[in-house]
Amino acid sequence: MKNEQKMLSRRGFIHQALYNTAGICIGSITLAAFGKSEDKPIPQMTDNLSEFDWGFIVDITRCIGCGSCVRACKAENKVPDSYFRTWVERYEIDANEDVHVDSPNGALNGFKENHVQDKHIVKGFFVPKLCNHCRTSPCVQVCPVGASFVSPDGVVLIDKKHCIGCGYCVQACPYGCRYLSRPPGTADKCTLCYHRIHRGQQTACVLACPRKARVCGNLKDPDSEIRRMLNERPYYMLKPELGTNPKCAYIGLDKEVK
Amino acid sequence: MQNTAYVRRIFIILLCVIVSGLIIQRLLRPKSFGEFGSYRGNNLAEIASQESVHQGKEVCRECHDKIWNTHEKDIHFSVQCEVCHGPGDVHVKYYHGEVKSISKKDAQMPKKYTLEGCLFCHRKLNSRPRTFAQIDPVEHYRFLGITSTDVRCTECHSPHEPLFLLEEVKKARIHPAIFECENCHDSRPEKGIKEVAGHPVIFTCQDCHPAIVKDFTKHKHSFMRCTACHLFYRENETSGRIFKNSHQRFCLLCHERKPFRDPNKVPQIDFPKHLQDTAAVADVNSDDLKDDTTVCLKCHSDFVHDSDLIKKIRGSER
Amino acid sequence: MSGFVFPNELHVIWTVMIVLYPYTTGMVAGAFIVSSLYHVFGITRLRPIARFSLVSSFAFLLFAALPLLVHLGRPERAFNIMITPHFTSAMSGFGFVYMIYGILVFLEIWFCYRADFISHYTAAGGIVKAIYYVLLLGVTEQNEHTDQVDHKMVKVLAGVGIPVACILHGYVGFLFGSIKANPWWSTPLMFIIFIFSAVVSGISVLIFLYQFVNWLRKSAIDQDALDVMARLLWGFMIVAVVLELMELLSLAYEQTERWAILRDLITGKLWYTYVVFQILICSLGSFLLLSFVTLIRLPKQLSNLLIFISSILLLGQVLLMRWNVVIGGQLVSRSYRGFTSFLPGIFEKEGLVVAAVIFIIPFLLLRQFDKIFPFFTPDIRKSNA
Repeated sequence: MKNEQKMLSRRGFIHQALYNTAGICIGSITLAAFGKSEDKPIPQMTDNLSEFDWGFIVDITRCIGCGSCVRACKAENKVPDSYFRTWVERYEIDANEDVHVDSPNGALNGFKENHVQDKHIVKGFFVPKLCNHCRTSPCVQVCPVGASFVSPDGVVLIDKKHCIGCGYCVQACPYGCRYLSRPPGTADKCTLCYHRIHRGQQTACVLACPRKARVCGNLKDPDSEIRRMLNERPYYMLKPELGTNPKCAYIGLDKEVK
Repeated sequence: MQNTAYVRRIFIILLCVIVSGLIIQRLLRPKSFGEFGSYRGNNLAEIASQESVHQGKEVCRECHDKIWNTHEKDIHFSVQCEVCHGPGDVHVKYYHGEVKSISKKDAQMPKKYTLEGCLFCHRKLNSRPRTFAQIDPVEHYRFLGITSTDVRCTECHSPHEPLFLLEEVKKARIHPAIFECENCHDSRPEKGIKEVAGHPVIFTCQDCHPAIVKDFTKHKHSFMRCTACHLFYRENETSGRIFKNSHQRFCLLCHERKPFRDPNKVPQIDFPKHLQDTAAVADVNSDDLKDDTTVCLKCHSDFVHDSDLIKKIRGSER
Repeated sequence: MSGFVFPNELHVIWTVMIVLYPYTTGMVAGAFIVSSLYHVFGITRLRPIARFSLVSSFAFLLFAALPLLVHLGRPERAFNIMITPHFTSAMSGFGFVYMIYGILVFLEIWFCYRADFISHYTAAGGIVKAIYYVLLLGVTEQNEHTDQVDHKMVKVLAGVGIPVACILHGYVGFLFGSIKANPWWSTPLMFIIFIFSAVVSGISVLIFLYQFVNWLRKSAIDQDALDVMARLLWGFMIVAVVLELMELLSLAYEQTERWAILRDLITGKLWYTYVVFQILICSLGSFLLLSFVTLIRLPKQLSNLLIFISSILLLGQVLLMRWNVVIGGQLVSRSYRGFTSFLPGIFEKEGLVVAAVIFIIPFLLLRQFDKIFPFFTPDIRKSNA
């Protein structure tokens, strides 16, 4: 009797295992097949993409930290709460070279008061931050499925239909400009308002800035404003030692800004 | 041999699994993958086809040209309509008749004239560039004798015409960059520049306009900085535009009687009653007075500058 | 949150599941290497636990990918990693290495257990007999020649499997160590540290299960095998801990830009989990215990008890190490100016309860497997185990 029981349980186990395995295999291949079955044809990009290389300038000497850019970006791209495609940091440096940095809710609601109240501030400034659209971007390098990529016109983009939401790219970005929000479970970041620049419109943040602290343009165009500014003003990039070759130039960048 | 056939068989099975895996991979791969690089080429067009939310001020101009021109002329020209009024996509779609399902209520664009709306930019913060116009609300109200703390900026200031400029801001007179004490100092120092040894050499109003500055100290407005009325708009590091701000509305920013303002702090008049009274006394048409944009200075120029001196300087300098 | 962090850094995205994943694959790799020590390097004293190690490795492997699937924002697209792999990414190799390793271990188990399958085939009837027939690919003969062939196949597979197991687990270490953006993770040593601590966790879990199961069944353990495993554990744990401490020493000595914030991390947010528990209690504690056991002659009962405690301490140590690396690295801001905070959820999708369930299932599976193919009894074939 005991042997039979043992055989039954053995049989039962083997039955179960086989059915489950078969089910999982068939199910997952079907799911995957339907997921990839049709790449519907989409109107082709008509621009000559290789004539463009989009770059960005942030002029720290002009930013007043009003937060209009943050609000405009949120509205334009429907960025979810507590995640940011762009934000503004405030730096307050006192006479002892102590630095205080803050960015209340990414400066979405501006800055309500001085952060440091009890000491005399000798130097202060605002630094808007966004994706640097690096030439040798680490986020593109680490994406396991090719959902993070650099477009032919130099914009680092995310394929939201292909991204699996592993979060590797979020970890790899040294500038903290990527996020993974659920929903929708895919990575996201500043797209340089790709949909706007391809219609000849300015990015939402450049449009909203009342101080011309942000400039976006085609680096390959020698007559563009961005080219002229890069040729005239001293600028620096963030974390150049990491070899990301960022295309976002910061005019007036202070050593305290990381 | 029968004995070791299993070895051959298992490796054949393995090979079949690998080959079929490769075939399946080829089949499941999106067609546009690899078109431009290691990604789905179609995605570029997908992303570019996203709808724009912000319209840009040229679109607002189509219907709102009058306020648009006013706004464009004055100092807030660099502030986009949608920055204060919010994105205009729903509003434009409704009024262009593009989408039937939007209700008129949805298409309304709010006028965000709360205190905070102005203070996003104009609150005085240590980290803001000192050349940028900013106020500490408490200090500003105290200076103007405003007794109530919840008075909105728009009770005095017009968002579309903050300075009531007589000429378009972009065509105003170019002026070299000037420095004020507050650009470097937290509060107005007691000593002047010339009295401090080793003070950095900077342009002040006195350097080019000595007679006017000397004369100014004798008039009623001498406690004010030149740039309070002669607003200097710094366009770049070396130069900007200067405005004369002689519009009647500009004077009224301080001098119009408001219920929340302490009349003992700042002399106040009722407007336009003041013009009607004056017209009666001077025996002129009060409408003519009202239409004159610089009407205040016709009588009160001595409160500001010696008008003869100004005329003399104007004659010789130009 | 303390100090300043970039606004997006408030969210910690690699949480409990990503701590569990290297822990599980560590045991996969570790158990496999123990098994290969017998099959390839001929440490015959490990024969009693060789099959057990191999099957444990496979059981853990079956569920190693599950934490990742639970973590993915879009698990239904998980196969994209094999359909459109982007080979510049360390993670892109995952699907293929996992598959190759899985096939390899399955094959090795198949060759290892062929004799058992044959004996079950002869004893069974009906549909079960048919299943065994298919499993044996129609060859139900066993003789000295097939034994030799099986033995050779197992040896080859075990040999090839060692680097594959190292890649399977090591790539996770490389993944972390190559993220230059993260000051806590970025080091070339991470690959090696992970492999050595994987072996530690593998040996620890084998010792733990071996002692625990035999205690439950009141059966005798093979003292020789246990002693060898304890000695191996001692050696590997010394290397693993020394590597990690050397890395830390190097950081503390060179004092580059990142040292200030990392020092604050270690003495602040990670003080208890890293310094007190991982290093002092688990590493130092188990080192002392294993040193006693290896260097001093102790009565067998005491020495076995100390070995058992050490294995538990080291299982904890490796788990804490994964926690401190994964979570700790995300607590530090890339602005080098502050920290965010993290508390694991309990009943969430990526919470502690789900993690516990995923972790326990392989053990239950092992138990079932043992009921059908007891792996503590050595193979009847002389030249194999």
